[in-house]
Amino acid sequence: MSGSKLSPSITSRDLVLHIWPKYDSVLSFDVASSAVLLYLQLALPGQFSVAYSANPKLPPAGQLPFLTQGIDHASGLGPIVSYLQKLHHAHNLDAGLNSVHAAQLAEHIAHVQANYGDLVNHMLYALKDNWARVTKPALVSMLPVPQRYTVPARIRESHKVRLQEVDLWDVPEESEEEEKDEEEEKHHRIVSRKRRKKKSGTNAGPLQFKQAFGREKVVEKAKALFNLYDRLLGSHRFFNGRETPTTLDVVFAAHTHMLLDLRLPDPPVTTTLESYPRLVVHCRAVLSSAFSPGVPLPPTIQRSKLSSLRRLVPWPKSPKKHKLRRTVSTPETSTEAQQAGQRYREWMLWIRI
Amino acid sequence: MASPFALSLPQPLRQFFSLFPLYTHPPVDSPDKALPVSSPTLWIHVPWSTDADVLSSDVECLKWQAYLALRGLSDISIRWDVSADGALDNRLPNLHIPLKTLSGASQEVKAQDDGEGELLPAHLIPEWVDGRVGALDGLEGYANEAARDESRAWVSLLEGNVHAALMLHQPSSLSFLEIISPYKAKPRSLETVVTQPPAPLFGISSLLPSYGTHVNVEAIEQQYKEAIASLSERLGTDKWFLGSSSPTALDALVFAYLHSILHSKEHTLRFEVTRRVNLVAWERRIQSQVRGAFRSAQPAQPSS
Repeated sequence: MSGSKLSPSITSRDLVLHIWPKYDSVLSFDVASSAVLLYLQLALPGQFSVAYSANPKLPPAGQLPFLTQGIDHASGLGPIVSYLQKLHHAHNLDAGLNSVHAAQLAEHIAHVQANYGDLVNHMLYALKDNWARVTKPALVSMLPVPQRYTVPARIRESHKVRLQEVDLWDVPEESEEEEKDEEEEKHHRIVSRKRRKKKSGTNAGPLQFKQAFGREKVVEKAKALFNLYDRLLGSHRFFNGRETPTTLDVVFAAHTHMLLDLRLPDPPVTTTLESYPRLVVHCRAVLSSAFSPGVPLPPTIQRSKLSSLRRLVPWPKSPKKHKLRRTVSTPETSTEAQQAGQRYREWMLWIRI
Repeated sequence: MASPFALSLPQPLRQFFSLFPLYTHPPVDSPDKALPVSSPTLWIHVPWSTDADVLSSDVECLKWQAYLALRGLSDISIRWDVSADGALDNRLPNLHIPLKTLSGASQEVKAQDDGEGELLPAHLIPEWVDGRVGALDGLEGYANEAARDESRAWVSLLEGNVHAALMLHQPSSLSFLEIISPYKAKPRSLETVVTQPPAPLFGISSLLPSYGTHVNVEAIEQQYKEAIASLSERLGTDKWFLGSSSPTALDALVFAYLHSILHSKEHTLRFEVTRRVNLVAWERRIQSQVRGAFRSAQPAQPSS
């Protein structure tokens, strides 16, 4: 490739990270996205840019977080981390671990993602108070007009399957909701208050007991998890007694940050977390080492939040359409550069549709 | 009770009623009888080859088989003719035990020999085993507390990443009979095993209602490879996982997954494990021990 005549964005092969937008004081509304942001900030400070986007249809896998660099792309926390570890100019967070700790790293990350992730999803999506007062308004504020009426409910449904499997969907609240709907319907049909009172009176006892018992289970689960990681952390600053955070620290801190900094009205897991001060301190330590004063913050690419009805239709992805909205400067004259430029532009179109 | 106020049937009616029943049919002998259970029987999914093998083709069932064998039990029979919706909670394996082996059984129940049994779901099996061979201590057989904590993480790695890769490559055979049958035994779907819920087929923000899942196959495969690499690293040349002196529940789980991977038809899955000699050798060693604990209660049938 002829060096200097090409446009800078192609030669520098900009890393662009597409993640869910910020909300309140959380780095990004999705835990995996904030984990990837922290990782990039520690591994490649100042050499990437962030595009907040609420359109999960962007990447091929249909899920954010999503990283692009020129033509290459990686989607999801695991693939992004392994892609970054292959870049030669990236600082490897896990260098220097002995083989036992390195083997344990993968399993601890999987454990955190599975169990802690389930707890965070339970707090955000399963508890009705949190959903109605924090999560749903947040999602609605991030999405453009046609999607904001349908997509939040779909996102909630998609978490339901997994949370039901691990018993964190908190069934008593749902049946209470069904009862209330039935009662309201009956009220419309038969205008009698006595029947409604009788129904709520007889069922309040067992439902409340079930609800309290369900919440106890969640708190027990959280305690078991936090005990384990409290023991693993010990009195060190980061896991495994290291001086700098590893991938496990980043993933764990992303979950803790989500719980602590998103002020949720119904916080059983957060109150349990706050009784483990070392884990809270760990989260702050990771965040401060990622965003320490000497390290530059990543620039953000603002994507225009047009309400596009076209996004509703599952459009086949082909690079032939030519609605060229340029944010890259045009390449110079050599044919090779032009071809490279053309391929790159087609790729940008492809991911914008 | 000859109370003066009691009503009694008048005599002619009583005579009339005594004519009935007119005819009593003899009792019908049904071929489906509950067989008396004399030894603990495990209900599992079908093994890979029915006449030569007793190890199940399903990871859940195999995991419990390995658990029973490694805890030291032996002479357990196997049956695989029960379909999944006949099991408790629609999940095999179940353990059918004679009542007298229950730990809480009273003396007279223990003296009974009529073949009465109790069916246990999978999560009650450890309790029963504790009653037979003695309970484990607080460390559950691991070397120390740190090893026990680490075992939890290994369990979630196996049941998450490795299980997802196995499920992805499982052949879903859909015969005509299965489609029209009213008894649907739904296996666990991939969404329950993957941590981030996968997007629906047409994207989450399309007009069409959500249908299907768009699974990120490369992510799952890559995580699977990392999982197997770290598993092999951690095993090293130890006899049992995490340096324990005797087999633990984690060993049973790892054996179940390795055995299922080595028997799967997907080349990429098998290759990752066969590359690692220590895993293959370990699995082979455990296999003979696990196989020896079971015997098949099912006679080989020429046509079912």
